[in-house]
Amino acid sequence: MIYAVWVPLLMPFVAVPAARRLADALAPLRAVRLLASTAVGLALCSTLALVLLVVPGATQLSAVAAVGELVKPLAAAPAAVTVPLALAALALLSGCTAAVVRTARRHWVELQRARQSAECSGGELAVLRDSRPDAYALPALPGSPGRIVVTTGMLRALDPAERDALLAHERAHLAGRHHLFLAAAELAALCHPALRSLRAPMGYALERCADEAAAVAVGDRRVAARAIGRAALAARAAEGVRARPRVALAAAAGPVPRRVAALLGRATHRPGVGRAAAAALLACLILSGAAALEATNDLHSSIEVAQGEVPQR
Amino acid sequence: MSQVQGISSEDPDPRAGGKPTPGPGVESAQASASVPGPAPEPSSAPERRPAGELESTVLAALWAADSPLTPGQVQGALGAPLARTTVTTILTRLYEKGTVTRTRAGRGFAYTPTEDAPGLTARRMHSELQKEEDRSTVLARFVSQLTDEDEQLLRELLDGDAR
Repeated sequence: MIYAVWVPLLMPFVAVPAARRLADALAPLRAVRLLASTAVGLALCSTLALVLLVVPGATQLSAVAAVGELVKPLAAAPAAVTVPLALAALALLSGCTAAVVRTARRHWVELQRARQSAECSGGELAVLRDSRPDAYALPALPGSPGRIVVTTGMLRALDPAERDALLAHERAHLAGRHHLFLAAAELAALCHPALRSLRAPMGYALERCADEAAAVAVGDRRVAARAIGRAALAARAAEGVRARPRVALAAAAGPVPRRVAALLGRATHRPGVGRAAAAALLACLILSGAAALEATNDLHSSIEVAQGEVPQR
Repeated sequence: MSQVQGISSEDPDPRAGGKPTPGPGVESAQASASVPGPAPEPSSAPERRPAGELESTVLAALWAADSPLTPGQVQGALGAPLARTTVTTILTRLYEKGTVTRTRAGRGFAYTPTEDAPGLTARRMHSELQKEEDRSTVLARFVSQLTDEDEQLLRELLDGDAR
């Protein structure tokens, strides 16, 4: 039994605290890319580690051993250890696979519906007669354009320049295909529970990307900041008494004030933190990948020994 | 950006020639090429944007208004300056698509947005998505919900900016 196999399974717990600090400290686009590669990379490595845990136990079955042309049992560890481990890993693995497949299918269905709504028109903007302020980008499938969905409540809460900022923001989501990053983060979170807390920083970094694009499009960072701020306040006012009580962590400011502060240049700049967090994440990713490779290698050579191809050292 | 150009063209700065810095001179030269004249060429910054984007901007202005708007009123309700002819062209195109309706108003038309077929489809989707609100992760909402602390902080940020 090699210990390297446990590293990819434990690494997400180490990586996530670093990732939380990343979204504010790094340039938005860089943060998005780093978060996406971390989430997907760590998810793949931990899934591979689960597979590697299943194999030694599975070879205890004579059918598997026959298929693998094993002439003697794997010398990895006693069956009393490998079999329960393999069963547990198999259960986790099939749980993850089922969840990933289910979620991916749900996303696909939602996108199909989005395509249906986009097909019957040429316009990029769909306005809903609804006094509750709301706006989002409806992503599209290849070959059909995405759409921007805005309620009349949102349009009336903003002044003309702010409306342009809102449209530019949503356009940036569509052009950057940001929904793919959100989906990747969500699928990764299904593979390892610790990766769940990467979804919020990912969402935040994507909003920051779109905010910066909006600021460039309207040519005024303060207009973009005001658009976000007023939209959020209007949405809250419309929510009124029906506001759902939220289990809020008051310690840190929520995403909206942080986005506004970043556009207004009021956010505290700590490039050192960003670099350190990015370095930590990359280190986690590399370590995780190397450990997964090492464990694969080790399993491979022990299988070769069991196949009688290589004399036991 | 384009506002700056507009201002500098209406008020030709006599000092611009005497200044050694090339920046403002170039800018006003660009602006004076595009802005004056009764029928401006579509060459100023906002008009170089794709037609679809301009249509969205005009449509958003119509939806934000309480009553039908004439092309002149639409022009005044836009964030970025657009030539009157451009506004009229866009409104005509939207009318031909059936996205807006129009009524006679004086010598011209006043335009009202309509809830067309795509709008209705979007509405259906919207209500479906609201049902499964916390399950739907494909959508990035423009603003997320605020906590009490967030609201306080946000007001301070915006007030500080207004001052």
